[in-house]
Amino acid sequence: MSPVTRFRFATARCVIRCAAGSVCARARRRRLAAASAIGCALGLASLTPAMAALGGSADSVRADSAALRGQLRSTGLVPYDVQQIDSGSLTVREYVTRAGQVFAVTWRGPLLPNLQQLLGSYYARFQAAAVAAHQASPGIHRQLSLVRPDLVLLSAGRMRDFHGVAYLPALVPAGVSVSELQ
Amino acid sequence: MSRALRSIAAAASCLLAACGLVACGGGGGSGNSGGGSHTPSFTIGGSVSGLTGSGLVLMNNGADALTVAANATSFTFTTSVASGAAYAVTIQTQPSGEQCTVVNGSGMASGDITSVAVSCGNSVAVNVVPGPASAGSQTFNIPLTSVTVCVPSSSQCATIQDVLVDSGSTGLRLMASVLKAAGLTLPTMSDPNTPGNTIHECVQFADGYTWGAVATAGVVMGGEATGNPVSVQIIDDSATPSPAAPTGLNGCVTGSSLNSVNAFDANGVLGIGVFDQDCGTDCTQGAAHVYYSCSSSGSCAPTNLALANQVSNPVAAFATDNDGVVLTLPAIPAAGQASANGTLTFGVGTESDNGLGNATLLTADQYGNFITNFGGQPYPDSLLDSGSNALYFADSTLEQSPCPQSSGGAQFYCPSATQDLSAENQGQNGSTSPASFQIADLAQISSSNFAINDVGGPMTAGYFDWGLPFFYGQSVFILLQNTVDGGTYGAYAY
Repeated sequence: MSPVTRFRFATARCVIRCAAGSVCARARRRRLAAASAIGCALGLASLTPAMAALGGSADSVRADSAALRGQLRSTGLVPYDVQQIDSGSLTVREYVTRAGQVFAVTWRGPLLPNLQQLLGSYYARFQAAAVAAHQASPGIHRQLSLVRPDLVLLSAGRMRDFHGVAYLPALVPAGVSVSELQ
Repeated sequence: MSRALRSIAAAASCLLAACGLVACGGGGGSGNSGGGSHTPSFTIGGSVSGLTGSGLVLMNNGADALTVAANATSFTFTTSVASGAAYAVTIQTQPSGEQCTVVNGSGMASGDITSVAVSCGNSVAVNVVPGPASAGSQTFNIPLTSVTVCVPSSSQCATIQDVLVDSGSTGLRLMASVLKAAGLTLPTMSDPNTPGNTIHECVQFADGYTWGAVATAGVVMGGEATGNPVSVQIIDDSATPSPAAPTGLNGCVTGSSLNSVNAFDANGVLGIGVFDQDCGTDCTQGAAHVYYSCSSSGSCAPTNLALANQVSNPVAAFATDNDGVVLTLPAIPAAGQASANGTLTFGVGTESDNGLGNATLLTADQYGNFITNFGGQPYPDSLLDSGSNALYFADSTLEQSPCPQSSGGAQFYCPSATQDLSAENQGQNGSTSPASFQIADLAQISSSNFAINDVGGPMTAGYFDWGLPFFYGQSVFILLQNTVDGGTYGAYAY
């Protein structure tokens, strides 16, 4: 059994629920001070953390975060929660509606996260967009833009510094600007 | 000792020293032996490029010194060698003010030899032209150069043309089909931890991946040559890559396969960015999905790889002029130009042609980025990226004007009027330098112009990717990490 499979459901990654708009949510590249206090298991670059997929339910992630739950609570200032998952120097953020649905994901790190897992049923759209862009405009590999009424995806960067965002416009809570997704 | 015995002694010393492909000590060229037999003899010579200085002296088999004049384009030794005899061309004395390297300098004379190449100077040509992708599939702003690769510790080399000059990545990557066509086989790296396994690499991009073996090679560009071999990636662009790119949780396959000349519009990528290795410490521990150990049966598992074995920056391994590069492209008009020709110069502040002058040095952070201040807000993660064909940055106004599908669609901006914009770039060292640029309506630029300096496109927030448009009309310096001026993570200057 591969090492990744063996650790998939262990508490080997750090899941933090942040109140959107808080210092926690605005932190971009620094490890969260709260994360250190909670004692998240960081530095495990080899493991793919269990993540809820874009458009999916966040419950599976919440179920695994029992040890951390309740440490940081949403204050209701904005109509969504942010769950941050750190795995080594890779940071993934999942933006979750009050109903528990992941409406946006962002990522930043030296290597890509597992996009099949993160984008879920929308991965095929990313794949198709990559192939189409490759045929229409070859030689462009630093960014991939997909803008559709039901899916907006921007994958960018290079080895040592990847970053991206994907969101579902129909699920973005009213009044939320996509510029908040970082 | 008779002439015949001296020749035999020389041949014996060659065999003992196992120097079949390198210069044998002693023993001059063995012309016709005494007596009545007429052994055919052949001349030894070849080409010279980039020689601007005087005083170059070549030798063949350690003798027959030949002075080559400045600006010479060819040479031939005065003494011929017998048919089937070994030749080995070496440099006895470098010319004043520059460095030369001999490529394809050794072999057996089965005819007149004209294939020895003496390559001089610390710069090579870079041309922004239609690349080697299929007709109609070429894209603009692809800066291309030639790279000579050699089997380590041998004179078996091949020059690969149309390689992308990329300051946003690290390491040399070549399409397997192109190497094969050049008749060169580079040795695949063995897994130091698992006998019988070889090392392969998965390199991710924003839209896909390349997959292929890690091999070792000597690299020669101009008169610069690597002192020790460097690790390179051989991209498996065959119809059925073997071993196959891993899939699944430990997999490589993400997005589109970029294993083709068409994917890059180039025969390979010469990554001359700020870092010494492509991955760095993220790949020396744990099992990131970059380097893989593959068994002979084609089963691959992620592995870590010491820095010394990772695919690395060939410039850092040059014996001289190894602290960075300068990319210089001419200014071009706003409507674009069919093509543009410039130079890639090796070394920063090491020769009379690569000093910083009044360029401002901006040091990079751990990601290889500096800060761009634009439109009243910071883009904290920015870089000078010759491997990117446009200026990519988030802009809420320009994002309202994506291009029509025929001009690249949402990948580019197509404002109805050309925008005159300016930004300020700031290094981690606090130094700042202004940057003015234009974003034109790409749909209005002729599709036969492959050099374009005013094309932009969207990017995730906080990032400003200064692609090739930034490079036209100035010299751009890329300083490697762990050098005096480059600092810990490298630096950019313009």
